[in-house]
Amino acid sequence: MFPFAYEWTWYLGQYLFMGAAGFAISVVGAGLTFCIIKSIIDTVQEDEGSSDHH
Amino acid sequence: MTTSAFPEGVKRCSGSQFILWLLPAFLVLLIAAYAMFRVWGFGLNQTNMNDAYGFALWIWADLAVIALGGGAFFSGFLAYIMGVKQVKNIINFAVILGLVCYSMALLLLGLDVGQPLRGWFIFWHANIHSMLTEVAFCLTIYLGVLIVEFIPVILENPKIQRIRFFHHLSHNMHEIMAVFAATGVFLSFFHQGSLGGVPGVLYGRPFAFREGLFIWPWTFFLFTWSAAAVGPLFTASMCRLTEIITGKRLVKDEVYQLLAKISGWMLLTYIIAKSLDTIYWATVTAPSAGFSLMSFYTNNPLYGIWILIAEIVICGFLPALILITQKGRENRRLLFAAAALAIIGLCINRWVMVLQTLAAPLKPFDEWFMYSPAWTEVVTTIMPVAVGIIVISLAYRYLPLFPQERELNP
Repeated sequence: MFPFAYEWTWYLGQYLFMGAAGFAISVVGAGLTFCIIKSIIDTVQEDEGSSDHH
Repeated sequence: MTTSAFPEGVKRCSGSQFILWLLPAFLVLLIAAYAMFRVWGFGLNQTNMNDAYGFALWIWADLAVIALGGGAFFSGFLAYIMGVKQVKNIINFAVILGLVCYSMALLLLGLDVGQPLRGWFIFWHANIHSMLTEVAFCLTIYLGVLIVEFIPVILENPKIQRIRFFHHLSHNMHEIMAVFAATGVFLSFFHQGSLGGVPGVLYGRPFAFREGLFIWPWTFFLFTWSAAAVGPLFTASMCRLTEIITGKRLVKDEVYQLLAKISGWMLLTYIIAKSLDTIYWATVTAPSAGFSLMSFYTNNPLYGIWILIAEIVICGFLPALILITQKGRENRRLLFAAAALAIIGLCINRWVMVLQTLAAPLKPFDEWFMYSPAWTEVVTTIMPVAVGIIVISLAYRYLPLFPQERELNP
């Protein structure tokens, strides 16, 4: 799975397979992280908005 | 009764009625847990698997539930990527159904590996030339995608929505759901296909072996195609079953009819491709290995030619022809009878590709290897149904699964 695992070899098949797996995990991870950060910002902005209003 | 924990404007049964309804499912779960304990505690000698049947009932169940759970990825594709708005009325239910199917498939695989403590080997020491490695990676990542898709549905519970952060999180996740859905489609294409690729590349098993395109045997494409065709029909059928049990209408007929129309055409094209594949296999591939078509369908107690006719004609062409006609779709009974036939056809396909492959004799002096599962295998295979009942019941009770429910039940 990783270059430091003993059966790892540097060739195209390995790049394609692990690249595709890594890409899928990265897309989901990045999407989730984006949503969490944006939700924190939205919540903080909403709180600030409501305290300004009062 | 209504409480603030239930979705807004809908009625649900009392708590005691709900517990009573769940009791039989929990009983099955308890027996299955005991069987799992025996298998993990004492090993695979608790099953009827043997040297001839390294793949058995669990693998069939895996292949079947993964294909039926394919409704989640194909409905997501239709709703978020193709922009078919009507499918959004059933997408939450499809995601939950997919989540149950995939999590149960992984649990059954956890039993089947026999050495669960070494389950991580397939990831860490990945043999990237193995179809099964591709299945393991795609299945696991896709289960993660389904969990991510399920989170905003949970967050829509009225009590959770009162917490502002969760309110924003569910909104933001819905906004980029197309990204998650696209990832799910990408992963599903490969794992559904690779599950078909596993029998297709078995050179030593002429019943299953197929030629194909580059490294992919035709079964790779047929499995993906059939899952995309029948998955939405399974989602629609389970939704209809939920309607019958709850005594409520949850989804408009036009949603069912749209899914049936799309699935009908998918099923028709699939079954034509499957027929062509079967004809080529029977006339070219199998004879080149020294077998005739009837070598695989005679002199045994179970696998007569009827199973091929049942799969392709009765559970293939027949439901496809019903579903592509408007009259067939408008008659609700006929629609769901066709859906049931298609689901049975898909299960037969997975059964023969796993079990008949192993049963058919390879040498002239071989007998048919017949197999009957042990109780531990049967109970754990029924377990997904019990888990499905529990998860769907809880989700239906507390989460707004069906946007049209309030309108249909004033």
